[in-house]
Amino acid sequence: MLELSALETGYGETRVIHGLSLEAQAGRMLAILGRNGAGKTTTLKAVMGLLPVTSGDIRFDGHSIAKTKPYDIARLGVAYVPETRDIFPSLTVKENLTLAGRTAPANAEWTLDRVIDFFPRLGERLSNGGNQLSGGEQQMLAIGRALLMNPRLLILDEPTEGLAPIIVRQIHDKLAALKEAGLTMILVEQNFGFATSLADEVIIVGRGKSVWTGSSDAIRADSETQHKWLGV
Amino acid sequence: MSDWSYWAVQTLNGLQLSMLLFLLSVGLTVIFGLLHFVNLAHGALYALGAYIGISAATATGSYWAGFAAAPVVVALTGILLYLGLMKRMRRAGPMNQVLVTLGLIFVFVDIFRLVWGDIAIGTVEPALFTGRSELFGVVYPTYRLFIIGLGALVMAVLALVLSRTQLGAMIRAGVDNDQMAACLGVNVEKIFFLVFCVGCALAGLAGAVAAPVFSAHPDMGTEILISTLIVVVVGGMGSLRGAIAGSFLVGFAQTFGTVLLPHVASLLIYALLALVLVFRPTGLFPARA
Repeated sequence: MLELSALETGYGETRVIHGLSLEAQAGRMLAILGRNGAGKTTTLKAVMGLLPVTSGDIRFDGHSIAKTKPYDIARLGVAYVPETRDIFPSLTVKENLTLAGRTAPANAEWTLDRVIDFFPRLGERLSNGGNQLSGGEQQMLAIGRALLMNPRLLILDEPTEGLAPIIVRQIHDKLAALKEAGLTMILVEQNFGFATSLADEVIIVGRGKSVWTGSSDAIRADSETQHKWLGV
Repeated sequence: MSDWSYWAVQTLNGLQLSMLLFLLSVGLTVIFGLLHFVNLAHGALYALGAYIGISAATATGSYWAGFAAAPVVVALTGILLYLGLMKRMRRAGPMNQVLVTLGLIFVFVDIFRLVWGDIAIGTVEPALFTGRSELFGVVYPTYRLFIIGLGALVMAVLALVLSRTQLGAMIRAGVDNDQMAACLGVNVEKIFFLVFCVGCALAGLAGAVAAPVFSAHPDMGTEILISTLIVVVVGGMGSLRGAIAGSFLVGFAQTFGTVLLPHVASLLIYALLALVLVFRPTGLFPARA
């Protein structure tokens, strides 16, 4: 569904990704692992059109989106949950959600009601400001907002970062339910156990390149690679 | 004139000035806050609005023709400026933007001189609002009451659109975080452009409305620009609440300063500016906390 080939990107003059290739297959979940600074977030930003692609290509459904603007990429069906969650503080929880759902067709799979069913906590917080939420609630809102885009590909950047274990477990179960329903996902994570218990495929990124690819089971069994590239 | 009615008249004067400042600063502040663009030519657009209003009123014999034409013509001028200059300068940094838009002021002032001459030209008030009205025993020019009412109406409409509509939510989201808004399928560029056009139209409207009171002269835009910039800085960039609060503070400081402390009146708004900068450097109600 999403294909990166020999991608090079970075911030300004600083190149962070040096020829990264990967593929996310429809209906499956791909985890991108790697140490801090390996270029995971940078890769996701390039996919969303937030960073310029200096060389190589990004293809979604076979069409290049390397030069496509973020809002067009979003409208193609790619939803993004950034590491910083990026809840709009001037908007209420409900406005944060409806902003994402405003272009959805009447028969869309994800509606405001369904997102509230999925994250009942958000339903109690609808009229709260975006800046009045706990970290866990912010994460639920960021995921709920992405779901209201009715995406075909959901991209999550460190959804467990800074969250209490009980919330991490909740998020895990929600993502497992989405996977069960057949949603294609890309997950960037530092939490090795969390990522490998959810993902089908794993790619490890080191110094801006792919250094290992395989299945979740394979990486769990490969303690040498874990040690070398993840410091687990 | 009783003491009470004297102060009531001053209050109405303050309100009227505040409303004009609001119409001007609201455009400027959202252009700052949303587009991160320093548009010093905003005052010149106000002057253009006054001239267009006068010319259209003279040509047709109706004040309302000028009232309608000024926002449209000024918005179209704004669009030309945006497409020709500002769009390319979006990422050029504030210093370059200041230089280019400062240059634009000189260009505009000379255009005003060439087309409308050096001498101030006035126009008549609309027949509907001529003369004076009595309001709770206070006699006040009807046209100025109209300015106050118009300002309040624009304020209410903008507040409603911004807080209650999907478009308003999209604008607020864009000010909060334009990249994330884009990732949710919001065409931020298009929204910014729309906001820019509305800001220009309001500057033109302010000019057309001010023309019968102050008459139009080539430097009128430059003169009001300083007060408008102070409103924006005092209120906090990019927020409607800031533009409202800043307009009232500066409008009343100027009006009552002239009455109460005539010797230092011209310094008063700068003192206000300095106070705000010392204690709240980002303004009273900045869009981004």
